[in-house]
Amino acid sequence: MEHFLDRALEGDEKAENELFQYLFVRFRAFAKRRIGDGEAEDIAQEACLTVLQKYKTEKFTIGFEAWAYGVLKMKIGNYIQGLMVKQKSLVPESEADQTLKSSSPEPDYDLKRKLLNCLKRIIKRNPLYARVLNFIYQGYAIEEISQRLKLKPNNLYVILNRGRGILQTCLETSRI
Amino acid sequence: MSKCKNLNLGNLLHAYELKALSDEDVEHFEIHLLECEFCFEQLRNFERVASLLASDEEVKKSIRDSLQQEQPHPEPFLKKLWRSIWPDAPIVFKPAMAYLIILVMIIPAYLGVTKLVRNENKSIQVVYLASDRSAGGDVFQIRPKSRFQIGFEFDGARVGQAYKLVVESSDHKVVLKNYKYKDFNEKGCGYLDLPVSKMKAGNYRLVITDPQTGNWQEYTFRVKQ
Repeated sequence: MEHFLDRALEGDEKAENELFQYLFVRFRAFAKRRIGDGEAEDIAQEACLTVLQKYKTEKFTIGFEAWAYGVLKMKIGNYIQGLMVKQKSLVPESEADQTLKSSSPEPDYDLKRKLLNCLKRIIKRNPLYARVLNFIYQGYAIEEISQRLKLKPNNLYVILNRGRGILQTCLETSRI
Repeated sequence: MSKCKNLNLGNLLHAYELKALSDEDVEHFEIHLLECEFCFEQLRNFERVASLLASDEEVKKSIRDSLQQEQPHPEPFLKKLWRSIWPDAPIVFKPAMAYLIILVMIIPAYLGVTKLVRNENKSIQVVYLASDRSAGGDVFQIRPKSRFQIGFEFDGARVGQAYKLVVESSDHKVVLKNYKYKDFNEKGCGYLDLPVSKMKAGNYRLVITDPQTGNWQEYTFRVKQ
């Protein structure tokens, strides 16, 4: 991204477009995670436009990435606030929360079957990964899980990533 | 595409996918995703699986059920043994710690006693050297595991004063030197253990020097195999 940014700051329009695309893809993913699929694209686009309008004049005391991320965060915050205000008089707050999360896309049954199969095998091979997953499903925070399993949070992240790696290999090659 | 250069943040990947990170960590990781193409690609490639893992009820149930079915593995013998000697209890109740302390105290004591006994059991051969004898005069017969001691006199030796003692072979190879020898008695006699293992058959000489006056005295003796 630094490459695009440097060229864009020098006035290269093509680099500016590439920077826009680069940010848009990421912003959309982040927004989708918070407010669901529905408005994620619009919010991401708005945030990108704001970034492109201001990046040439802005002094990035916290770095470009953090600044751009701050712009997106503000847009999402404004959107959620607006939505809350709109829906407050119509539906209870908890339901308003629910509307933020749009329905997930149709599940891929083939992938799900493969995933279940791989998970069964992983539990035999790497039960710790499954235990950590189970704790996460039960709503425990990472710190709480670390305390329960007598592990440091960093080790927990490593266990999760290792499990993820085995899972990925299993899904791709059907081998563990 | 190069791999993630910030492993501390890169390690948060799967926890982020599973929505297990705190808001603060999510923020740090997402800023990292803006910089790190590798992590973002990993995230995109695994997006569908991660979504199922994080929110699909059937997947969650499967994990739960499998964990319940999973019998705990029998504890390996060595681990069991270790736990029996080092149980999870307050430190004062840890017998292994007590064993360790006892061992630390007993082993040096045992070694010291055995060394003492061994030394006592060694036969000691003491030969009194006289300054007027030639090298052929005092003959040591080396016997394995025996201690050799030479006795000697030094004119005007004082108790407690340091003297310089050197034992060297006929080819001037030093086999023993003691620059702070203080063991002369009131009669000016001293004794010295010879390093048997370093000595071969041949002629040797002992030179005693008083560092204060510069006086010296020489004794010669012969060792036979």
